[in-house]
Amino acid sequence: MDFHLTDKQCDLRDEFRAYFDKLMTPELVAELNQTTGEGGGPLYQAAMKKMGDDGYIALSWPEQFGGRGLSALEQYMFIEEVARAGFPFPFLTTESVGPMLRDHASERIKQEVVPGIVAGTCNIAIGYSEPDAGTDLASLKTRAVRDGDDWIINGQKMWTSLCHMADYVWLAARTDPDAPKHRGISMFILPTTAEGFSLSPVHTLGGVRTNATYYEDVRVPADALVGELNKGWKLITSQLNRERLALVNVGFFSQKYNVLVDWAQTTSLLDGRKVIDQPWVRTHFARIRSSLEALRLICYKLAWQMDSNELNMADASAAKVYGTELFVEIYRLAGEIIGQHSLLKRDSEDANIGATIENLYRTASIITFGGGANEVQRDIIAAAGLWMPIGSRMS
Amino acid sequence: MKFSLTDPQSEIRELANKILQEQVTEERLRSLDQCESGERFDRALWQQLASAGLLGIAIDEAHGGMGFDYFSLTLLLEEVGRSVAAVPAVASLAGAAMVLTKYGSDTQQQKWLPTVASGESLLTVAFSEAMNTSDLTPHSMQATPADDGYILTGTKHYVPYAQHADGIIVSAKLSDKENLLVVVEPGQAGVSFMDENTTTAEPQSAVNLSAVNVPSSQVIAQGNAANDAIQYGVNCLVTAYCSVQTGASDAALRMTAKYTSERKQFNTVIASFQAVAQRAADGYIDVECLRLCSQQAACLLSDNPADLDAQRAINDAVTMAKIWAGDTGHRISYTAQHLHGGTGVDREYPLWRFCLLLRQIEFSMGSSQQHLTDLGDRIADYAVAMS
Repeated sequence: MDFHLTDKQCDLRDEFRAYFDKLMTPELVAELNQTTGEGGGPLYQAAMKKMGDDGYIALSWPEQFGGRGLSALEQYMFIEEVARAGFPFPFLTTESVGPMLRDHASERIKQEVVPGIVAGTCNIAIGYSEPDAGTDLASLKTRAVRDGDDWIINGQKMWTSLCHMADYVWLAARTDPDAPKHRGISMFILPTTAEGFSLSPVHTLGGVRTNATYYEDVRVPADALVGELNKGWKLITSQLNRERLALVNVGFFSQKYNVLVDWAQTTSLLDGRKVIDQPWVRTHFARIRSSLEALRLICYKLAWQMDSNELNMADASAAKVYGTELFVEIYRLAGEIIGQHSLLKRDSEDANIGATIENLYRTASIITFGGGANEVQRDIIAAAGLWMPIGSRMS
Repeated sequence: MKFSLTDPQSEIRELANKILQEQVTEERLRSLDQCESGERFDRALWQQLASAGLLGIAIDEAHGGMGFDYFSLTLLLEEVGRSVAAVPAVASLAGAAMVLTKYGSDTQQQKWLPTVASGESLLTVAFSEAMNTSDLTPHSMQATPADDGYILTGTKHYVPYAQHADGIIVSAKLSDKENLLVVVEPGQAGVSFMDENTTTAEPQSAVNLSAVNVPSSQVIAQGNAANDAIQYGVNCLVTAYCSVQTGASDAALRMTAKYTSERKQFNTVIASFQAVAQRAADGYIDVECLRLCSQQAACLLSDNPADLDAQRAINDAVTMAKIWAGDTGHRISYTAQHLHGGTGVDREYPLWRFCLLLRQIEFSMGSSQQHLTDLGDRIADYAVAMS
């Protein structure tokens, strides 16, 4: 066992950190703050293009596809730095959808879409969830029916985030209504300019805009089908572990912890003490720090397991449950340390470090059910990690 | 970053697991339960571990050991926890022998280490004092210089296997800033014991020294070197408890998973109820957090710290591991009892010993709250930054 990074890994971390220090100009940070951190503004688009030009988008991809062939652990470190910098990098596009298109799409789609992903100019929204298919995703009802050389798609998707700035939707649709529910689903790539496609905004508690998307006799050519017919479920789930790992990356709070400690060490209370001189504040910090340490180790172990092909499904689910619930708890503890200023939004005239927590709290509420509800993750842990018999809902 | 064992480490773990799982049977534990107070020590098992070479995992080859590092020793300790074996592995091997290996004189090493490895002699450690908030700074035990060595007076508490030991490593206060670390032999004039019958029935004692003359040949370290040696010894002991706790909590959780997968109520196995499975899953996460934090602490302790930052990283890793050991131990103990229902508290079923061990370790050498307080003070001092 070795809990140190290698010299090469340290160099890589330094490289990533220096890169994002430069990329995150004050102007870009200001723009991101206005868009609840989700990106999409002109400076964000320019930054994505620059990352594409610098070869920084598909780092984990093999060299022949414009990447650097990073290992899962190195890729985890990259995401750690992205998260640390607060840059809204489109992980799902680059880590999940992109590789699936690269490996399984038709030649035309490969030519048309993949270079844009690597260049940072192509945005893709994910069309998985539906009004009646959330955690039980495989019960989705959106239909794709073959008509000559085309597929005709009808249905509705929910939580199609970033779709209002996307060029394509990566869409799961039912192609065999008679097969068992996991075996009748196929994947399509559909341009948002297609006739019959429309969307309406959904505004969330966190201030983040997402969308409902509608598909009314949307016609796509046969080669918009990605992968094999009726084998879409396997494609969807093939990248789930990487997605879960990206979701709970310790980088989302590590630098914020450092900044918050510094604030508490240097900020005075009216009675003359520093914020950190309060005993309960110290205990709060100790809770945050020791919990983050466990998350850091869980994530690194998982990434290492991916590289050595020893991935344990229970551990991936454990990381998802632990990390997401920890973030929710940490945002509470951090808010308590800061006090009522953690209710003030960034545009308040006297906003301080608390505005970060105000924003994080609002946007964190989705993580415990997004990416696979934690109850289902716990079922997976009990079954795959402790060999307990699963209940009827899992069949 | 690497999370796999080397081949020799895997062999150590397998050997320890094999011996302990085969030998520490329910029948054997029951017969130990009949021991008089202060006598619950499985000497035959200790000798078997010695014969297999396992008492010398981290003792130099020159002294009859295997010459592996501290981390390798914690593999044995995890198995000790998994089997709830009644042996003094933490105190003698992870505490005393590690301190002597790093800070003892050649003569002291010659005197003690070969016989510790062979099982002929037993050492223990006396760092803790009642009502002292830190095991790093002795208060009760005071030392004053003498013509040759020191005179020690004071009381140590919770000394494991003290009345079975041939040597006791004792920390003492020399001045406001300086400490002393010595080996006291129980037969020396002025040494007396008071029984402390612990919740697991592991024999412990309060050790009273009344003007005990400790010649310089028994001094391990003094002054600043003693501060370092005490810090190292406490780190080794605390991490050792974390390793035992990892094995014990993993075993208790898996026992619970197995039991709930067989126990039927309402015509079905209770593990199929989501409320049961979810609570067990939370236990799985807790054990994994404890395991990783303990392994990290043990690995860092096996390094030689190059500078102040590296030393701090070790101390912080150890403290965080013990926070997890306390919290995980508490939660697993109650999860296991609760999901077992009445069976979990029945002494005919093996769970109860695990629950008591988890609680004993939770409170040994600092509770979670104590370590959170220490860590919080260090965060105020030097941030304990995330890299």
